[in-house]
Amino acid sequence: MSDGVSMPRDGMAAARRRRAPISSLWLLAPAALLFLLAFLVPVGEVALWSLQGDAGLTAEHYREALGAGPYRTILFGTVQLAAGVAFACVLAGYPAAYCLASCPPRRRTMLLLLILTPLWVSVLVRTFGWIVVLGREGLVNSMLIGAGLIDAPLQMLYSRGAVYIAMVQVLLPVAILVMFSSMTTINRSLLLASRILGATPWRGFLHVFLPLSAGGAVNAWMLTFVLALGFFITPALVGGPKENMIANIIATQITVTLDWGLGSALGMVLLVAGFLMVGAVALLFRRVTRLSGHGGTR
Amino acid sequence: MNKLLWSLSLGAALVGAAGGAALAQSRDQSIVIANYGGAWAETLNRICIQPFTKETGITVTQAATEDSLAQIRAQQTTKNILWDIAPTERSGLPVSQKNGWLEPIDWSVVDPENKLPPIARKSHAIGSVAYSTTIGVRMDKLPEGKTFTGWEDFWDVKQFPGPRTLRNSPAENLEFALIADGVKPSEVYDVLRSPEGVDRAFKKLDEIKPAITVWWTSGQQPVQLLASGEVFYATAFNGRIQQLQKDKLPVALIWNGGSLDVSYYSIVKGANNAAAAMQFMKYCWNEPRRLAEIARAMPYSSFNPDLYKILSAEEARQLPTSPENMDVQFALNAEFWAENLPRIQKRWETWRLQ
Amino acid sequence: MKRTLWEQSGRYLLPVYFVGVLLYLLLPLLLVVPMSVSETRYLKFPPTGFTLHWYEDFFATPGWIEATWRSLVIAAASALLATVVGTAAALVLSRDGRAVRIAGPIFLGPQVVPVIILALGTLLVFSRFGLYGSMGGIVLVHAVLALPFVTTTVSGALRQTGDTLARAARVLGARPHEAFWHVTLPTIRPAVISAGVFAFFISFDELVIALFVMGRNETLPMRIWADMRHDLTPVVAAVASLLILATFAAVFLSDRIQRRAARRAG
Repeated sequence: MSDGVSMPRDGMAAARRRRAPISSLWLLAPAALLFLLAFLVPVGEVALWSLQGDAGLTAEHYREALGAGPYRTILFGTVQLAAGVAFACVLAGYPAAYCLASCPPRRRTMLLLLILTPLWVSVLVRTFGWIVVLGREGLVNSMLIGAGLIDAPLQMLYSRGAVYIAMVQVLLPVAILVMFSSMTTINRSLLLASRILGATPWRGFLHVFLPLSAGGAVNAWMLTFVLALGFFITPALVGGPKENMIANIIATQITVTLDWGLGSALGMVLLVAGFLMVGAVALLFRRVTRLSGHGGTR
Repeated sequence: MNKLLWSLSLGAALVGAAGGAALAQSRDQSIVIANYGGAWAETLNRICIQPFTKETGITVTQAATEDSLAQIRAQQTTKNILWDIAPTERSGLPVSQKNGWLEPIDWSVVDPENKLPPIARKSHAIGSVAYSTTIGVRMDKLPEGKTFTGWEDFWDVKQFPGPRTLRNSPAENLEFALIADGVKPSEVYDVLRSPEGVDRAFKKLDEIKPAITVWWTSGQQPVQLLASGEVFYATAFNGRIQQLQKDKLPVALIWNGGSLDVSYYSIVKGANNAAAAMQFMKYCWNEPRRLAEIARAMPYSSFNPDLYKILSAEEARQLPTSPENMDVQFALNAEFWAENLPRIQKRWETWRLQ
Repeated sequence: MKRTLWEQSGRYLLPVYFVGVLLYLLLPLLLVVPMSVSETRYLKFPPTGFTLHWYEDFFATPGWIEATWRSLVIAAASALLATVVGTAAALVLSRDGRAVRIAGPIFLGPQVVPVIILALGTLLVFSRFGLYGSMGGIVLVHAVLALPFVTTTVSGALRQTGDTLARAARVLGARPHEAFWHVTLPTIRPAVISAGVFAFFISFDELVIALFVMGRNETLPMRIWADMRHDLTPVVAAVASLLILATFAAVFLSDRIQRRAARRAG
């Protein structure tokens, strides 16, 4: 890490504890209340179902959810796909967020709004849009055939690739926005300082900007990851015949087979798996996020 | 800042209370029908609900739902009954009947003249209209000089090459596989109930699996796939395929071996106004004149035979319950699936991953 | 300073890349608009014919209009709630290292739980408390769904700006809420706005929970879903096109306003 940004931390921390400007725990109260009412109570209700058997408490549903069989495979597949999609979002979104953050403010608003426009269109419709673009007689294939590059249509839909393309399209604005909003708070004079001290722009970026913005990237990954975990319409519409998400299975259990015990258990397992992944990533990148936490102004 | 917090929590409390108040309105002489929203709800509203309210003074509210079975269960669990009439499709009827979530129907009120056949006249539900899962075929992709007749051809990837799609559900697909394997449509459930029946169906499904590009989940999907040429052969609801034909797409509808599915409606246990609900059932789903109007609006039709006295032969041919179409199809057996779906569903997921 | 080759190419490469990303994001929209005037009922490219029939349909069907308004109101209310409550929480989370490590991931919960589970739980709770079909109830649930975005985004921004200035304001005699309003908030405004915007869209596009608990009060996604179940009409595309049009109009207007303000200031 660049030595230029290390700050006298201990004294500051003490001062912060003595007199935090506007933070007392009760500011958390409304959020906690909302969280309790609209999240913990409903999910608690479901958690009870996951443990309820015909005769009292049972771990049977969890045994079925985690034992060898289709559900475990699908669960792993879902986590893997979500992690991959989130990674792709961060990778593709980082340069875009950087570009946004270094724009003049006036143009920035406009570009931001443009990035957000797809959100007006229902995910369902957007996914159908990809079917038109990537299909056998779709836009891409007819263009390629028209240009004489290929003879027979390429099979692009109904594959992992199509799932990535469609899911990243939905989640990319999230990743860009999260990274962008953390980048705007980076003190640009640090970059200038590194230039004055003789660093090349590339070095300045690598040693000053990148570490400071990494926290935002990790946050973006976490958010897109947990969002991707719950996807089911998109993978079902453009994924291959073997593609299946755990959310799909849960929906079937809850609405069709009415096995709420198993459905709830699968939901709880996904919840825990998601937390473990997010927790592990948060821990792994602790240093990075902490560095951004002292974001260069102090 | 304290003030801000107070106003916030007060606001949240008010928001919650407003919802409660909305529900506390008087309930006498009104019924709530849970229904699939959209165009179907609007058709019912125009043809049945508005005239019904005008004639009887009973107000009818439609509540949009998609997963009625889960909702019926939740209402029964929390003992807070919000609906009078609810859709009980597929295994929904036997499952909720077995659990005692439904009121029996008084057929002397709903069908005094005994017009409906047994399939529409269940002890706890009325069959409102029927729809079919049929085969849609892209005629322009069909090999020269060949005619496509049914499930055997669907399975025959040598004679009829090309991508296909089926619904992502074991229900109806196991039946289709058996028909392709030579079982008569009228006997599919006898075979499925026999010990090796399900194995036989899955074995037959193995053959077609490589030709399935995608397993569809929402009703519009197979139609979209046919229209864009993504697949050449697909299962789809009859109304959807007929819509494509109206749009002048070269698509044929094969009734042969289709799965006839009934859209049942039931009265939930503890309904606020069961009597009015039954009155409505007769008014809307057992009066030939209104049934004909419904059938003209959407190609889904009732079992009341008098319906066909009103419709022209041309109109009748488009409907799933017209005699010639009904003969070549089988009726999806909801009881079989209510008993066996949880078990077979798991096998289906496993099989798809293989 | 001599410009390096890297820097030179970076000047052009980055904007070109950005345009590429925009194209990728907007591609499905480029299809939605022509589809809304197409005569066929399914998605087809290139579209055939031209008709404004689907727009007429939208304005003539009370169901569509009501659902659109309802969704806009619910989305705005839940975005407001989530942003205010979430920003308050972020003020704490950004200061207290332990709180952030414990509460941060916990607040992600509503997004990790598959929506269908939350939908089921919400249905059970709502039926019990008579909230079924109420706008207030769904606003609360949608706000909780958006909470992770608000807390993550805002606390990230807060941690980066630090509290030096706010502390200075306090030392100079500002009361806590004054320090927040005049000092802290302006520095984190982009984060707060982007969090709010996302909260809005999370609610606006949310289908599963609404399907379970909204009953007679159809929201726009419910309406679209029902339409797809029975007969998908390009009305869906017409609605989307109208909303996109509104967004572009907003982009244009805000650009004009800012330009004028800049001119006046300059």
